[in-house]
Amino acid sequence: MNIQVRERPEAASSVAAKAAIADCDIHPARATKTELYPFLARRWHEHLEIYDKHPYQGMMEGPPYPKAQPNASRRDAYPPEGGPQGSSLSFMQKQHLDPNNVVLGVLNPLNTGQGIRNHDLAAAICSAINDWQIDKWTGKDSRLKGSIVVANEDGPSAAKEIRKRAGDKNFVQVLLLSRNVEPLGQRRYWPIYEAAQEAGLPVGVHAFGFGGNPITASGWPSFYIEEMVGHSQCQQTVLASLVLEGVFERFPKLNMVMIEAGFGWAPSLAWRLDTVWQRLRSEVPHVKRPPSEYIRDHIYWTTQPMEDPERRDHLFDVIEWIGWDKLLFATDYPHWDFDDPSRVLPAGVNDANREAFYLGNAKKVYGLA
Amino acid sequence: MCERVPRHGAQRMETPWVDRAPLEIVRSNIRFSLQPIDAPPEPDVLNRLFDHMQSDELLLFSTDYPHWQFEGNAALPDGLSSDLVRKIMIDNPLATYGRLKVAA
Repeated sequence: MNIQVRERPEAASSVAAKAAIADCDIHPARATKTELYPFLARRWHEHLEIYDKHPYQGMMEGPPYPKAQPNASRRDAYPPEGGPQGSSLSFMQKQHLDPNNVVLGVLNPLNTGQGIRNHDLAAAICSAINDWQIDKWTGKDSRLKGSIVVANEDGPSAAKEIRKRAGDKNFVQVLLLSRNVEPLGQRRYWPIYEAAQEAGLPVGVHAFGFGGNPITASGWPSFYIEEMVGHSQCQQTVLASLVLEGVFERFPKLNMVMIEAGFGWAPSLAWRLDTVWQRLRSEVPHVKRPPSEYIRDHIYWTTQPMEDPERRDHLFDVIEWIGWDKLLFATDYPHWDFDDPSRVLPAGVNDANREAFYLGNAKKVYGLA
Repeated sequence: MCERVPRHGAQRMETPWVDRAPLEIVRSNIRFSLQPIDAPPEPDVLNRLFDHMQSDELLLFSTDYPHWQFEGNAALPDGLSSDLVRKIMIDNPLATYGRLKVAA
C-alpha cells in the first residue's frame, strides 16, 4: 500500500478545517532505539541489551500482521531529518498541528512497557516514556498533552505511577490498550481505575495490546484487514467487562475514552446488554442500573476511523443514539488511516454539535474547559 | 461492521478475491436469524435500524425454543409493518431454504 495525503489548494479547505480542533489520538515515536535511555536507570539499559523484553505474546515489536505501510504510517510523514514517522516535533508541527489548527493534541504512545512479563522492566519503561513525553513533546509545545502509560498487568505499580503524575498538567489521561491478559473490567486492573479517579483523570483504552489473546473471539484471523475490523470486537469485550464487573459502581467518577475502535457498534451492544441484564441481573447484583446508562454516563469515543455509511442520515442516527456530547475528534496522525478534519463530518451538522465534536467535548473530558 | 470493512478499501490488494464491497456481499449472501433480537425498546428506533440495513430480506424468523430467551408470546418486537412481518416470517425463509415449499 502507498497511501498519501494529497496536497490540496487552500480553497478546498472548509471553514471547519481552519476552526480550532482537538486531535485526541496522536502517536509520538522515538527517533532511535536508545532515545529512552536518559530516562532509564543504567541497569535497564544493560537488561534490554542482554535479555531484551519478554512479552506476553510473540512479535511484540513487529505487529502480528505485517503492515505494508512502514510503522503503519503515512509515507509522507517521514521527518526530513530522518527517523520514523511521528518522531520529530518540528515536522509534526509543520505537517499536522499548524495547518490543521490543532489546539489540543493528545499523545498516545503505543510501544511502551505494556505487555512485558517482567513487571519491573514494564514499570521502568512506562515511567521513562512518561518522562520522555514531557522532555520531547509536551514541555516544548503546550498544545500537546501526554498520556500516563503504566505497567498494565501490575495494578499496584501502575497506580503508583499514576499517583506520581497526578498533579502534573503535562498529562490529561491514563492510557491502556484493549488487548490485555484479561478483560479490562477484572479486578486486577482496579488499582488503575482507583488511582485515575483519585487523580481526576479519564482512562483511555486504545485499540491494540500485547496480552497474548487473538484479536477475535474465535481465533487468529488470516489477514491484516481482519485485524483492522477486529479492533471493535476487542473493545466490545472491554466495555462489556467494565460494565458487568461493576467498575462504574465502584468508581462512579471515572470516565473512560474508547480510542480507535469505532463507535457505530455502541448502540447495538448497549441494547443487547440491557436486554440480557433484564433477565440475568440476579447474577450480577452489583450492576444496579441498565448497562446502557453506565455507557452513556461514563464513556467517550474518539472518531477515527470515522464510521462511513452509505447514507449520511444513518451516521447522524448513530451519533444521536450515542450523544453529540460523547464524541472526540481524532486523526491517528501519523498512521496511514489518518482522518482529515475537513472531510470527516458531513454537511448538515449545527454549529454547537460541530464545535463539541471537534473541540468542546475533548476540553470537557480532559479537564481543560 | 459492514460499514467498517469497505472503509478499508485501501487494503483491497491483500484480499483481491473480495471483488465487491463487503456490505454488498453480506446483503446478497448472508441471512440472520431474528432471535435474540438486540433491538432498542422504541419501535421507531427499531425501524430506523431496518432502514440502516437497506434491505428487508436479511432476517429470518426464529424463537430459540425451548431456550429461556423465548418466553411468553412476544416472539416479534413491536412496531414492525405487516409487510416486514410477512418478509421475516414467510418470504425470506422460503427464499433462503430452497427445499421448502408452501403447500398450495
